[in-house]
Amino acid sequence: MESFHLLIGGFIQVLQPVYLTYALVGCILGTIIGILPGIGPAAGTAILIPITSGIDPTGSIIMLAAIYYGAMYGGTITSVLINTPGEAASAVTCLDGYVMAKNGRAGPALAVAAVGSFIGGGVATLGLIFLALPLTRLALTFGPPEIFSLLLIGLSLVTALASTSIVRALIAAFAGLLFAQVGIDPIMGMERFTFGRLELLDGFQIVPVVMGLFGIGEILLSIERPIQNMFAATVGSLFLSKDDIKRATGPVLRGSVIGFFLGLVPGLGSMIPAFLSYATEKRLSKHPEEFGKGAIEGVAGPETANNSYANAAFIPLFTLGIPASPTMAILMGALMMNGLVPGPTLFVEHSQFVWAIIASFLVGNLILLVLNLPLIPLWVALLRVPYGILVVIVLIFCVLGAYSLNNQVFDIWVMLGAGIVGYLMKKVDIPSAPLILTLILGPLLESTLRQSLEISGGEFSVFFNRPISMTLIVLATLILLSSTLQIFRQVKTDSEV
Amino acid sequence: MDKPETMRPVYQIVALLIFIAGLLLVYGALKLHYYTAIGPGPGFLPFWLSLIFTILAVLMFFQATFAKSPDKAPGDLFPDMGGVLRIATIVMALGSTALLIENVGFGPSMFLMNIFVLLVLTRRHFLLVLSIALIGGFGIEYMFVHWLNVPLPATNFRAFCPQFVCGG
Repeated sequence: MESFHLLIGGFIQVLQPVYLTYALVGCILGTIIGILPGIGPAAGTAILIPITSGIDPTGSIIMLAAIYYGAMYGGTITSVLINTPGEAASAVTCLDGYVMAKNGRAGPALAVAAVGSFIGGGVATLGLIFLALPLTRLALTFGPPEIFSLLLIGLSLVTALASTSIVRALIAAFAGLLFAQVGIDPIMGMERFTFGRLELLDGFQIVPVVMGLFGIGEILLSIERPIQNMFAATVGSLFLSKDDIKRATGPVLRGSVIGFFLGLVPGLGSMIPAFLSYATEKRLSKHPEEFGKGAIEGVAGPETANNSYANAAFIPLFTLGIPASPTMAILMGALMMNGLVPGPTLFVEHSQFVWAIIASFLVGNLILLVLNLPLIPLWVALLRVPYGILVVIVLIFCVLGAYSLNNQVFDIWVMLGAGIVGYLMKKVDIPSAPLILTLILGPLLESTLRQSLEISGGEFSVFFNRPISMTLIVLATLILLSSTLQIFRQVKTDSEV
Repeated sequence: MDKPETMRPVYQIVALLIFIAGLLLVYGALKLHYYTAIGPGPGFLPFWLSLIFTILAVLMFFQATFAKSPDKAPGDLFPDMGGVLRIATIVMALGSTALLIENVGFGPSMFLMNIFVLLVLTRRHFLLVLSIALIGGFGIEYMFVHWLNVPLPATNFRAFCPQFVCGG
């Protein structure tokens, strides 16, 4: 009941015209970001941070969150219409969504994605409302050992699920952790790997690294081949038939649940819920042979799951201060730029702000549903803008975003360096998501590890003497063991030794 | 450069580079305090991370070397000359912007970047290119500085003027 009273307070705030405008603008910008191939939600949110700099903290986060879930939906449009996912989570939608478009059913594919995204987002936000206060109370009992163990689960999942090669995923993850060591050591204040550069005392900033890896890296990859403009299929009627609704209901409900629970786990990334939902639907379907040939379930489930995930990922950020994905890390940075520290104390010290943001998720998802379907012709028109011009627009915002973060040129160089590294990583099939996630989680991982060992006088038993910490460590070990076994199995099957 | 048939040599070279980087990091970490009276020191985690990083590089090398069915190299592993030119354009444009932005200001540096990238990447009428470059440079500067209060390096046309004409 307490949560609902607080939520009503949030609605009163967020329904003011000025905040509704921010949510609307965020949804539109996010959809545009999602439509542009290569510029995913993380880079998109990072690039657009400067736009929110003149806005108050509540409005700024409402807009950035709307950009995030707007981008998650926007990615669907290109997946369905031109077989090119605007962001990673929509990759699976290409399988059936594009076939539906080729069969003249682009309208129902986009409609079911919009409705599914709305339901998924709504379910996850309801989960956030119910879980926020109990989880916050639980989080307040967490000490450094529990937080360290929880982070270990995230890190082990990142590597276990990230790539076709676990070794390459682990290399990316450890590279991120090593990059996180740059700067002043969190406990003793000693300089590490700064090479005398003052700009590196605070370590690598997440925003330029994300913009480089995901934004510039993707641009470099996409302009390798001669630039071709995109031509989208025609959309046609948006109405869903009775049969479509019947077939999509189950996948939407299951997708909501899958996305919600995976959103609670730090480090998974938005592709996993979408793929898991697709696999589940294919397994449960009476007609699995229709998957890949335009089955509406193959669009409804994954699209619902990825939006449910996007909204649920706010739960670990708000309650534990742990960003579950690169985009969440960007939003965490935006919160901190506004003087707000994510974590359990956020609900105590800035209750009004948090509940306004939560209320804005429901409003934002409704805006997306109402806005996106009638505006589909406009999004299709956007796809006809020459790609060279889109590249310039993205570059402008990348430079602007990197520079205005700290008003230093060094961040533009970091972004460019990260862009080249991101491009090369893609060429040699090393995933960049684990690098970003460990770069984000690295400082917290180190400080909690060292604080725990200081508490215990250097005894590692501190992680096993506390029940929650021990349970989490056991889980992380099981995940790591399963991935290690996979490494050896891979080496064994692949080698001639 | 000839494209290899499989990814084996590519992975081997990458593993070797990572191995060298890992060794350098281990060496760097050893120079930091490993342990202190109150617990692990600043070098504790960097040491173990860089050691594991190095071991992973060795594992990657062995995996690539002894793979029975190595990954096939994709057709577009190396970009063609046109691709290299386009990539170099973006890298040079961003690098030049970083060098210029604080000397000539945000607007002019972005204007130059836009012109350069648009001329290489698109075949459009020069007036359209000029309009986009102007809006993307000075228009964006005006919008962010005056409407959104984002401080950006001010335009300094004197930077374009030779010293013997405009003085120091």
